Amino acid sequence: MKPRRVIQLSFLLLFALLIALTTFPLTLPLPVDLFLRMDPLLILGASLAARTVVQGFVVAIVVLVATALLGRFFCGWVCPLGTTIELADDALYRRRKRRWPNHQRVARGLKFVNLTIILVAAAFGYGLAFLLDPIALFTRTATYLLHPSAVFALNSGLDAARPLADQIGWLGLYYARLNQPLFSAGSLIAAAIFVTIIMLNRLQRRFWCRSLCPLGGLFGLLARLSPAQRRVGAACDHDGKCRRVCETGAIDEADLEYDPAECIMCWRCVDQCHLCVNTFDWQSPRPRVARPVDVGRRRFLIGLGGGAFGALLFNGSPARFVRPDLLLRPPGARPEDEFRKRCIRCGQCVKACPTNTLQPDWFEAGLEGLWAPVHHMRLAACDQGCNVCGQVCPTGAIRALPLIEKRYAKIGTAVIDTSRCLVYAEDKSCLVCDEACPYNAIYFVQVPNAKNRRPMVDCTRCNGCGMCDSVCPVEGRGAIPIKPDEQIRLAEGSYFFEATRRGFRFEQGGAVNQPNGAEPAASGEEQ
Amino acid sequence: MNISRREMLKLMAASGAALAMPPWARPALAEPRVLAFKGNAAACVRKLIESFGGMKRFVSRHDKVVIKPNLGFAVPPERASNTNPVIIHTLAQMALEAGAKNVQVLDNPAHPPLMCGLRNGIKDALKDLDDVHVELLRDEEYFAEVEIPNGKKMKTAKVMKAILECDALFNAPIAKSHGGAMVTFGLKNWMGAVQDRGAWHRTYGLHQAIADFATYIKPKLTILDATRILTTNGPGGPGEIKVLDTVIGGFDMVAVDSWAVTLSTWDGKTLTAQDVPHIRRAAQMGVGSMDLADLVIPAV
Repeated sequence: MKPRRVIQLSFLLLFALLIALTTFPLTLPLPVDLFLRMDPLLILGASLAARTVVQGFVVAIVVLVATALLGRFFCGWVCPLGTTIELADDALYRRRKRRWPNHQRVARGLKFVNLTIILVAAAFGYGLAFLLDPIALFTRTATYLLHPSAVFALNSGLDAARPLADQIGWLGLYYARLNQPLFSAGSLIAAAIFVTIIMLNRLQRRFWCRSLCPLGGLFGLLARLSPAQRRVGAACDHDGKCRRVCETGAIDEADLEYDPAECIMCWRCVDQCHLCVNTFDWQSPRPRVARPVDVGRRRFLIGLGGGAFGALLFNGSPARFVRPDLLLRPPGARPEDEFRKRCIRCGQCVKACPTNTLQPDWFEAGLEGLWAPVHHMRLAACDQGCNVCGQVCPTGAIRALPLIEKRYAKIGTAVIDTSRCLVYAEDKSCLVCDEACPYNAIYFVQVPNAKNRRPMVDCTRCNGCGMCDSVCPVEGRGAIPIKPDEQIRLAEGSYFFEATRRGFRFEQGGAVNQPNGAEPAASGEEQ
Repeated sequence: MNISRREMLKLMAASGAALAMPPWARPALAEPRVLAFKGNAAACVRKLIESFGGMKRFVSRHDKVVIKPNLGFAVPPERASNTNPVIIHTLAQMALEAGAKNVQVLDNPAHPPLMCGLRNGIKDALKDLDDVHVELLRDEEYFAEVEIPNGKKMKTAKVMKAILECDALFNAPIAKSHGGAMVTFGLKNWMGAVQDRGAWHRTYGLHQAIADFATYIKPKLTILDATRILTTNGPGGPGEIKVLDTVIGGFDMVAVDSWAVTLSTWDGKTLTAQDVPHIRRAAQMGVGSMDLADLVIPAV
């Protein structure tokens, strides 16, 4: 295997490992969001859109500088999506006839248009990078498609083995079962985009990287500054080998000229050259790149217009009028506007969430809210001993909070639907919401003419964790949904102080089924 | 030798004359119905099992044993929402000593199973024992539907396959107050043996469901954890915890529960077994006897 392939595979493996470790509890002190942090388009894009500086942006700067020195090495050696595209291409398309010959330049300018759209939208204050950024896209794909599929496959195998395990009394195998992550249909779009990217190889190898990837566009512009450039010796016999093996079709028909904005430094031309006239040198002074950037004035204007239009589209989204901030965002999510600008829809929080309550939003918050995380409390509650969503968020859209702060980052408030509640509607004995509530926010009141005591919510003790909604035995829609009322979203400062100032108290000790506003009694047994 | 509750009641009826005598004059042949021991939890369990004839009476070599504790909540043991791990450990160890092939500690908890597993500390407490499996189950494939012929409202239920197939089943609840069932001891513990817990509230009515299922399930023995009891805000807590250092046992779940009601006030109320509908109904349906007159309760 070529050294490049070894390094590519190592990075892909590291990427997969970090995804696998993006889980609760975070077991190793590793930056599980490393690849996302390395991506300048995501980090600087989110910074620009939210008019802020995303913490840990230095890693992205390092990658930018390295690209200005070494060219698009990231695409050719590091990018996990690029590696996956190559592997899929080798497996599926290597022997197939392509739509266009390798060196033909098809729509190469599109990636710059995409880049321009993203940057212009960011300048207007809208984060669009998530749609096409390869790292966000691939992380999302891993969360919504690859990981659940792998679990499903493994569980199917275990299911098949279970009767046998039962027969021979191998309990370890009998009870072996992985938690199957479940996602709403919004994830299918993420999957469809991924599959499309693979199928684009039918046109040309790594077609996505050549013509569409906005991150490749950004790196391509910087690569033109690189002093490390390809040179072809005078002895070249123009046999076209280098032209044909080039991963991205960066070499022209005469085998001599190449485009540094296209070259991903795979060096296959060097390896293949039987005359050894292909070389990459550190050239000083840096040669001027003769070829203009593959985006004419017209295309650039299209990009500008597209970005402005995208911003307009978001701004004018009807969802603005139905208040997208009425969605249940993860605890610690910044104020809705800033949250959406920072959120790169990578799905890391969703992947890490141990209970599966976090789901990618569909269009409930309009186009702008696509794939941003929301709670699905009916499916599962927000665990009160976990704060992992904020820990793995690469852009700080969800703040990394200590457990106590996270507990006071009120998600919403439970509201009893008296038309569905078994006690109210049918006068049956039920307390399941109360027994699940970690903060004694449910208390019971005996009313005249009712057999059973009725549950009520003490709003000052409910932080909207959703335990009640998740366990409510009413079938279908629960009888105690969480509404976003009184949610606490802070850009900075302490949730504890803010919540306490507003009169909330989410403590596990003490008061037993107190009516509203009652002081919780002291308790010695608290953990 | 296995003696079911029914057989034992017959035995007791046969020795009616003996039962009529004051406790100190009773011949050794009369079996105690409920026993309670005070002190170190592990020692209490051992004494209890010995008093009921030793583990060999319940578990033969190569038996599959299931212990059904209350592991309903994703909270650590000190919250008194789950059965004391020491009790489960001692039971499992004794079953293995008696030659059990394996011991399965099973529950379908109220909280999400995954989080219960991370927090309840039971796996850690049992990890020194080989052939002991702690599983918190909710997935379809571990349950099978059974008929409940004597149930009034509940006619069928999906019960853990392991419970259906085991050779010896032990009921190992903890004593807690309960917002819906008033108290939860031996009878109420079985909600964690079925898949659809919600149906007990939704469809059958909680008290009737408890009584109905009790007519079906036949544990070898009920060992009630009263080492510390949750007297308020149960079953999830946090609430007031009373330390009693007591372990209670018996063949008759109704008798155990009836006596356990007297341990404390529950959510501030003084109760008798008559006041708790599910205990009363279980007794009416013939699950056991609420009569506390002839219980043997040595305080050790």
